[in-house]
Formats: sequence, structure tokens, C-alpha cells
Amino acid sequence: MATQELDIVEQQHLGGGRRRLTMNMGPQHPSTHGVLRVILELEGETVVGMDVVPGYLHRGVEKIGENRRYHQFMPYTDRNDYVAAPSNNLGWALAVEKLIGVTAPERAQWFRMILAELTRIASHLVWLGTHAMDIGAISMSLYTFRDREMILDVFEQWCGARLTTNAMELCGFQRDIPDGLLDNVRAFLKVFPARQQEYADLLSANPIWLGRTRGVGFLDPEVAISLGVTGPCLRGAGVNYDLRKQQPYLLYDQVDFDVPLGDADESDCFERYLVRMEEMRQSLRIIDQCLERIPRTGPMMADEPKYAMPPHGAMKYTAEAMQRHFVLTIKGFNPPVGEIYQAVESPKGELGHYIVSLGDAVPHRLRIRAPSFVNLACLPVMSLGGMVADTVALIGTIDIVLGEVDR
Amino acid sequence: MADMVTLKINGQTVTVPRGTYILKAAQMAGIDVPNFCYQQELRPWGSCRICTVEILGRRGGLIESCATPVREGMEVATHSPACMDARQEILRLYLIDHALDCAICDASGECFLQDYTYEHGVDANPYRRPKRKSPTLHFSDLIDYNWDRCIMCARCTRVCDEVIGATALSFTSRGLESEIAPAFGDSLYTTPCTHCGMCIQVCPVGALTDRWYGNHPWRVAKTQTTCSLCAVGCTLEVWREDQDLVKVQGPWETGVNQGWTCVKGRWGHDFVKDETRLTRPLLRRGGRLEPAPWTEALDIVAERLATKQGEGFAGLISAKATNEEVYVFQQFVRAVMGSNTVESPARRTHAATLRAMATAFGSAAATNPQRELLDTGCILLIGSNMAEAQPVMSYNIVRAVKGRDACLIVINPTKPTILGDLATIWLAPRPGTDALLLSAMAKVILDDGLADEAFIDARTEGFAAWKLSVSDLSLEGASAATGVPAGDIAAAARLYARGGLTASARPERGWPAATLAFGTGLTQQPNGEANVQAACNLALLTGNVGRRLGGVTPLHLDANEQGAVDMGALSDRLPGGAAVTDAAARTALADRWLPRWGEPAAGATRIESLPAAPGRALSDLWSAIGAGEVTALYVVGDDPALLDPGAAAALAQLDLLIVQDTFLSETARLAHVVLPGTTAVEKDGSFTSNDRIIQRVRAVLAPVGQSRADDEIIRSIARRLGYQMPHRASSEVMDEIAQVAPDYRGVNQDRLEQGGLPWPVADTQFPGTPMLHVERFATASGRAAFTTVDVTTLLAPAGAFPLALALGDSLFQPPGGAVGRASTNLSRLEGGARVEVNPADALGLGLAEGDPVDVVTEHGRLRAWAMLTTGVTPGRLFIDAQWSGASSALLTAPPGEPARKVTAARLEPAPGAALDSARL
Repeated sequence: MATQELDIVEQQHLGGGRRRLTMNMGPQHPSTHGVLRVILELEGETVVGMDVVPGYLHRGVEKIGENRRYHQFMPYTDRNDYVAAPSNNLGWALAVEKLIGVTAPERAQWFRMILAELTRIASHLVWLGTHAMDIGAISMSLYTFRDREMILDVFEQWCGARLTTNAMELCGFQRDIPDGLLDNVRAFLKVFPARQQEYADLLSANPIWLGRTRGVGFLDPEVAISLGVTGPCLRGAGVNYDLRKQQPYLLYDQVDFDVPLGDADESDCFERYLVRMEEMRQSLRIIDQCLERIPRTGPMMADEPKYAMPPHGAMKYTAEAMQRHFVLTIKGFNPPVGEIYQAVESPKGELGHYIVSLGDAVPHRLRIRAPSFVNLACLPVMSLGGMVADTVALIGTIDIVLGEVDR
Repeated sequence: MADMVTLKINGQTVTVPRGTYILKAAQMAGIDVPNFCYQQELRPWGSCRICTVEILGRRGGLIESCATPVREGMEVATHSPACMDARQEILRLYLIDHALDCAICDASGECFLQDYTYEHGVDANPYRRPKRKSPTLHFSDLIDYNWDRCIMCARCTRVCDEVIGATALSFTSRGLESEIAPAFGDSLYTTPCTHCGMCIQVCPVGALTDRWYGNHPWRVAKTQTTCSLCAVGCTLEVWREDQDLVKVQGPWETGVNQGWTCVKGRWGHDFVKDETRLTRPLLRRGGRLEPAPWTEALDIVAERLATKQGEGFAGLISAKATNEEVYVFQQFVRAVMGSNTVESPARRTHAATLRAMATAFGSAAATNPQRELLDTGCILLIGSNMAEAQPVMSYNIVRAVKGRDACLIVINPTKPTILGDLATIWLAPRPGTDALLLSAMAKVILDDGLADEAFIDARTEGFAAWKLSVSDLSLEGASAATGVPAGDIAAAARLYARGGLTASARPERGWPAATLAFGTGLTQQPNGEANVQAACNLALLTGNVGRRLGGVTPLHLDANEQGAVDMGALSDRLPGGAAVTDAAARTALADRWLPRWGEPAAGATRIESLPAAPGRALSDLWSAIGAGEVTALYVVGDDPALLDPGAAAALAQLDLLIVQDTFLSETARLAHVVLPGTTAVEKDGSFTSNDRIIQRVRAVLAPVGQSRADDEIIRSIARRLGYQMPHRASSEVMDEIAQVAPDYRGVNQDRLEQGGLPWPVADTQFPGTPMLHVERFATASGRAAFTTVDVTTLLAPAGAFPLALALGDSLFQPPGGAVGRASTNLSRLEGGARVEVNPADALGLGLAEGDPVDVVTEHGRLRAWAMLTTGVTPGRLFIDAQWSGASSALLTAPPGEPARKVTAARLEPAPGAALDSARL
């Protein structure tokens, strides 16, 4: 297989016994985290040129969104960054709510924050496990996936699904939080810090880990900004940009948390590792505060008959709610005419939804700013002059999900 | 203008005619006001109150907009907070008892209540009590009713009354117990219900539903097309889910029907998917028809046809074929087979009209649009059971009579359905005496000085000779011969001449217009030509031709009878209407068609010129076959063995009988080769309606099995014979028709996409001609011709056959028979062949309702169920022709005579159990 995945496409003889090879990597290469294709130009083992070829997982999600009613599109967002589905759901929900001018009730907002931060931890755990596995620490993925299971159990308890959760709804939630769910979140908060420390102990001073990440993949802060890089990659370069602080949404302005930043001079894979490890701790802090402050009772859905699905019980037992539910399902609602952009800080970076509405039941234009896609632009920048093996580490450190890159 | 009113709606200035209701005015201004009980074209009802609007500055300003006429200077707010509050409250009251059925309700997704509940944000309901679940009631095999979804808006009952004229549904009980129910019981079979299903279509919720639908609007694709099941030309919206036809309904405010449909259009189309459809070619081998591959079948057809060119070949194409198919077929018969014998069912139903009316007016087509029936003051309907044969056209008459007290005169041996009960006068002449009756009416008009002399002088010729011919006609003599009281004849004549007015003083602007329509009951008689002549004379005498709300309308049966005539499916007419004897017209077509000959196939010869002599008319065809003059016949979609007396025996003598049809018809059973064609919902093209409107037919479904488009089959055969006939889309054929037929000159398919066009259409900008003969008649002289009528009456039942039998059309049977039998829905409604007998005659024979009985004529016998009704007068019988094959079983036609619908007969009680009278 390997010979097929790392094919020599072309050879150039440069004189003096030196050769330049153009090599193909992917789209089925296991280290590309999906179906990314990279064309490398090598002199010896040194990368002197790189071409990133995305698009192997293109489904036309934005076009699909332009043919789906607003409620209908929610499950499609699951499939973008599929290791962080609730964050995608949140991005879509907030974008549509901005368009129609609706705010979800407070209790729903706290719960959305809990789901979003759990998602961040789950996503970072996937990153940590796979990134470490790519560069030789195979056992790490076994540990991180064990902890991620606890989070997925919570998702499952909430919505029945573990990966493509469809966890959020427009204008709030149709159901209340199930009994015991928040206790399960607390149980996770209890066990996870010690385990995370264990992973840090295994890696942070590990000479192999340091050898593969320290000084590998330098990303200049100026370059990162000019490329539009966001999320941990940008913060790893010391740039203080986190939408939860810069453009607070939900109730992030009411909770205390710090934004971890890397050293701008180092700005390598190890810095980004440190940033993500710290972000998990900060997420735990946020969840802890959410659990404290979430009201014990209260509405979960905004009182907006024109846009919001009726509560689940009423929908079955009253003609008013049932008919509203059917009209919203069959015909959808007609939002105001206009265009909006709403971004959230997803685990990968700035996830934005841009909607142009002509007042129809479907968006006239839908554009998704996927952080993985934009962040991928820094891969050639970081790779040049490095080794082929470093490319594998760099794909891991950017933390891409091809569902989101290719859309 | 004095009769316009200006008011403000939501601040917008609107000017509408005086008497317009606020809701309609708002709609005209583009403002939607919610409504349940408001139904376009019905009288306002005002029961649902949901259309409540606020009239600013008026005390207690809330008022129902559907029944409040506008006033000058009125200021109306349709969505003010007060209106919305009121509507929310009304909706809450509706929702107290409304079923929790959205998930399984047919209406879900197109339900007015659902939409308004959402639009008005009705969220919580303070009024609450346990839901009262009620069972689904089966009103008939097609119509279901759910009380717990019903909002008592009365749309269904009003439509049934005001438009359909059946009044089969009504409210029963009071208050909270109110419900909709069939009159006098729990079944629609015991009511005058026509099963048109309009009650389902107008139901704003899902209370009345189609028992077999069970689908949802968001799962289907909808296509508009033209109905193929009668000549009215209704625009239908066909719903399909994948290749399943799930529903047919009339799109509102579209086409000649404006949304109304009948039982055939709504439910008859399930025949398309019947398992008896022909899906493979069949070849006769060893006396049996066996499936064969297309190539083999076509090769054999071509090989056998190659030796049959010339006058020995005949073609017969159904009037259910599109204009384009008829054109291709007659081109095939004339240019490839070198024969002029190409006929269509128009000859069967309207041979008399094609001769008599064309002589009188220069054109045998209907003169005025059918929608004018709504406004005309007097309608004379002759020899037609319109409510069964052209139901949607009859709705116009029902509305005119019930809504405006228009005068309706019916001349028919039996009492027509619905219209018979609405008629101002019903004249029931003895079969065969119509010409005498109509001439007697003309004599009354002449004697009373009611003739329109100015019109006669300016627009007609032959009046003096005709006047002389009726001078010795006596009313009493006519009364004695026709069996119609003299007073009735005179009264009917006066009403027609006075346009329905009963006043004796002539209005200053002349008598109002009166319109005349006649059906196959008038034409399919031995003296049919005289009958039509007499009818035309009557219209000319009163100046009712070329006049708005007047006119003469022959009522066709098949969807495209008019189009088949226009396209030249007549043995003596070329496409465009020129006679085949017209050398110039023939040459023009020969130059277009004959260069397409390539190398003729073995045995075939190149046709060098189009045949100049007229071919054989349909009525002559069977004797010609008997005499061995015609040896090969190609039948497309028609069923002469069922419909033409004497045809079955003749068909058996043919050397070659090719039948191209969708079902194994009676004719197909006799064929040597059977080719599976397609139905109208599977092909593109156009139909020309009864009132000359060329309308688009669109393919909704893919052809079943291996069946192919009819014109494609014809082309495949032509190519095998060496004639270049490559595939062409229906739009390209229409382009050629436009070049060939002057009346179709401005027609192309792009224009038809926008809506129908009444011919003549002079050029591509010309909007069409709804009314003919406005300034000059299409005759050579430009004047209409009075024709002297032979009023000899025929048929005197006596001796062994004492009863006069009339054949007619059935509500549940499209023309032909096979289609109706294949429709599961229509078969559910049709119990079988019924013979209608007067109770007095039945008593003499010891017959009871539902008894099996044999109808016996000189030529044959037929088993039927006895139906006792005073709709036939003593001494008469009536039987449905389409279903039973009665015409071929009971009649015989002497050579050269048009098909008949009357004969002498007797009844013989037959053994067997009686049929449940509810199913009759």
C-alpha cells in the first residue's frame, strides 16, 4: 500500500548527484486524517515544495443548505467537523437566531455552553490521540479515546447519538435536560483532570515527543494572521484571539476563563500542544461554572411561535402545537430579508456561517467559514525546509477534519 | 367610472367594481386575507369568520370581509392587532375539538387551518376538553369523512349544490353535533352524487378525503396537463410520486375548467397503471396472440404493409390521440400508404354535423367558448346528457340556472341527469323526430314575429326557400308526431327566441342572446343530418350566430375529436381543412411529404402523388371490407368492434389488422399484430378542446413496460418501408402543423406553455379567436345558409319491438370502454350495464328495480340491470352505450348511414338475482 500512497510522480536530476522528486501523498494515506492529498517536492528528505489538494470529500454542503429549510439543515452541520458536531450545531443555531432576531432562554444557553465545552475537550482528545499516534506514541490514543467515551456517553444520553449528534435546535431545545445528565458531566469533571495530568506527564518531558515537536513547524504570527489562521494554531503563535472573549456569544462573558497563549518566538508544534492541553483545563473551568449557574428550572425554548418548534410534549397533545410543528416541518419559516455572519470559537478555530436571506424558507446563499480549511493554508508554510516525517506531524498539529475542509 | 368604488386597504388605495366584496378586493390588491368558507365563484357564506377585518372609524369595526361589499371611501385594515386578536380567538375555538391527526391527515401540508394556526401564532389554548374521536365514515367507495377534522365551513355542501347541482351533501344535526352527511342516509350511492370529488378538493382541512390517496403534498411532483377523458378540455394537475399516479385535481383559475373537475378526470386516470395494460407487442401465431419483441413485430408489420399500399389500406385513429400523433398518422396513411381512407371517431359521433353544420356556417366547429354558458340568458340543450358526457361543461349551466335563473330548455328523449331537474322546460320527443320538433319551433318563432330579420337579411341566404318549406308545418301535427305537447313546443320556441325573457315586449336592443348545444343524441340517428340542419336554422333564424353569449355548439365525446378533424383524419379532408379533391392543396402537401421517400422497401413502391379521390368514410368502411375492397386496416387507439355495429364481422375478414392500443380492446382481440401504445399522461403534445382551444398535453409518467409513444411507432414502421421519418419532438411536429393548417398558423408549443389558444390563430402574436363567424361566415359566399330540412320522422316501434331504445353516455365511462373498465375507481362506481325503464312499462313486465333483464332488438340482445325511473317516458328505454358495447350488440347500420343511437326494442325478464338498488 505504501508504495501506492507515496508515489514518485516525477524525477529531476539537478546535477552533482542530487535529485528532486515530486511525490504524491494521499488521499488514502493514514496520516492525512481522512482524504487529504499532498504533493511534495523533495530533495533528499527535505521538503522544498508542497501543494495541498483538498476536495476529495466534497459534498456540496453549502448548496445543500440552500435547498434545505433552516430547521432541516441542522443534521448536515454534524457532518462538517464530525469530531465536534455540537459545535457545528451551535454555529448554525446562533447564525439563524441572529438572522431571525431570537435569543434562546438562559437555561438553554448555559446548557449549550456545557455541550460546546465538552465538545472542545472531546475534539482535543481526538487530536491528542491521533497526533501522538502519527509521531510514534501509539498508546496515547487508547487513553484519550477512553476519556472521550465519557463525553460521548453524555451526548448519547442527551440526544441518542454519539458522533453526528444533531444536538442543538433553533431557538433553544424542545426537551428538558434528562435526569442525571448533569451528574454524569460532574463525574467527568471529577476524573478527567488527574488523567489529563497523566498524559502531560507522559508527553511533556518525553525526549522523543520533544524531538518530534520542539522546533518543528514554526509559524510566524504575522504570517498566521495574514493567512487567516484561527484557533489553537493562532494562539500557539502567541496571538490573543479567541471569539469567546473577542466577540462573546451565549454567556461566555459571564464566566471566568483564561485564553492560553504560546510563545511567539517558539510557535512550534509543542507550543500548540501546550495551548490545547491548557484549553482543556479552561473548558473544565467553564463547565464547572455553567453547572453552578444553570437555573434548575425554566424554559428551554424561546417563546417564538413563528420560528421555534413547539415543546415535545405539547406537540403530541395539543392541536395548536401539533399544527405549528407540522407547518414548521413541512413548509419552514420565512426569516426576514437580509444577510448575517455569525462565528463561534469551535475547537478548530473560527467557525462562521454567512446567510443571505430573501425571506424564503431556504437561504438564498449559505457560506460556511470552516476553520480547518483556512488553517490548512499554513501547512506548506510550516513544511518548507522540514523533513517528510515532519509533514506528518504538521498535518496532525493543525488538527484538520476533512469533512469540514472539503464540505 | 360610476360603477367603480375606491377604498383603502391597509393604506393602499384600491379601485374595484361596485358590489365587490372586501376579501376579493383585497385579493385583487395582492393582500391575502385568511379564509375557510370563501370559495371563488360561489356565493359568499360568511360562516367561518376567519376573514374578519377591521373597518376603521366604524363602530364595532370588525366584520367578515368575504360577505361585506366595499363602499366608497372605506378604510380597511386586514392585519391590525384587533383583527389578529379576533382571528386568534376564532382559531382557538376551532382547535378545541380538532383532531390530533396531522401526521396521518391527507391535508397536512396544504391545510388552511394548519397554516393559519401557524401564521397567527396560536400557541396555547385556554379552552380545552377531551378530544372527541370519531370514526372515519365511508360516504362511498371513494369519499371519506372525518367529523373530528371538520370545521363546518360548508364549502363542500355549497359546491355540491351551486356548481355540481347534485346537492348530495348537507349538514345534519345542530350545534356541537353538526356534521356533514349524504342526503337521506350514510351513503352517497342513494343520493344524486356524481362522485366528482369536488367536495374533497374544496375542503380547506382534511375532513373530506380521497379514500385511496394516503399521501402528502411534499412527496409528490405536480404536472399540469389536459384531460384525455372527454372533449371539455379540462386542465388537470396530476400528482405523482416516482412513477405512481397518486392524485389528480383541478388547478384553480386555470384553463377552461377553472379548477372544477368531474369523476372521470379526478379518479379515472388510475387506468394508466392497470395491470391489463398492453406492455409488449403481440403477434398472432397459430390463432393466438403471443408476445413478441418489438423488432420482430415492426418488421412483420412493415413487410405485410409493403404489399398493401393504395386504396385497399385504411387507417383509423382514436380521438384520444394528440394533434401531433393524428398529423403523423394521416401523413403515414396518405404519403406512405397512398390511401385517403384515414378516419377518426369524429365521423362516428358527428358525421351529420360535419356535413350539415359545415354547409350552414362553413365550419363544423363550436362557435362560442363554453365559459359563456355562465352568462347567457337561455340555453337550449338537444340530444345530450351533458352532466354525464361533458360534466364540467354542465357545471356552467348549473351555475347559470341556479345562480342567475337562466333559462334552460332540454330536448332529449330521456330526462338528463341533474340538468333535467333544473330545466325550465324538458321536451321528450319520440326518438327520430328531432328535426320535426326543431322545425316546428322555428315555425312558431316565424309566426310570432320573433325572427331576427336584420340578421337574416344581412348575414344569411336561402331564407325564402326555407320559409316556404316550413309554411305548411302545423304545430298540432308536429305535436302528434313527436309526442310533445303543442304548448311546450311553443313555449320552448318563444323562450329561445327571446333569450330567456318571458316579457312579450321586445327590448330596444333586441332580444338577448340564446345559445344552442347539441350532443350525439341528435347526430347519431339515421336522419341526424336533418336534425343538425334544423338546429342550425333555428340559430340563424334568431340571429344567434357570431354573437356573444349565443352560438351553436356540437358536443363531442372524445378529447380530441375537434383536433382529429383539424389534422385531416377524415377521408375527404386534408390537414388544414382543404378537400382532398383540391389539387393545389394536395400539391403543396405532396411537395412537403413525398421528397422524404428514400429507397422503398422490398415490395413497396414510392408514392409519386397524393391520392386525389376521397377515401371511404367510417360508415362505409365495414361494407367495403365485406366487399373485399379494403383488405388492410391500421387502428390506433379506437375500438370499432365495440362501438360500430357490424364492424366485428367485417374485421374478421381483413387480410391484415394492426391494432395499436393501450389495452386489449375488442378490436385488438381480432388483430394480427397488436402494438402497445401510450396513454395521454405518458406523452407530450396537444389536444383541441370542444370549443377549439388548443391546449398542451404533458407527459407525467414514463410509458409502462415496453409501450412506446404512438407517433414513434408509426415512424418506425414508415422508416422500415423506406420513408424518412426521423424522431421529432411534439413541438417540431406542431411547427409543421402551423405551416400546413391556416387555423394553427400562429401556434407553437412555447405559446401553448402559457395557456390554451382558440383557433383560428392567424400569427404568433394573435391571441386566438374565442368566437367564430363574427363578421362573415366561413362559407364561400360569406353568408350562412338556411337549409331545407327533410322532417320525415323515422322509426315507429311496433309489433315485436314496441319500445324505443335510446343509447347514451355514462358519467363513469370515458368514450371507448376499455379505459373505464381498467379504472379501478370508476369500476367501483359502475355497477354494470343499466337499462332505464319507466315504472309503468316495468309493471307490465313484472320487473322490479335491479332485476336482470334482456334488451332485445332485431339485431341482438344484451343483458342489463333494470333501473326504474320516470326520467324515461312510457314506451322508451335508455341504455349506457360505452360500458356495455350496446351499440355493437343491439344495432346495425346499413352501409353509408351514420352510426345510430336509437332503435326499436323489447325487454325480456332474465333469470338471476337482482342487483342491490343502491348500486344502480
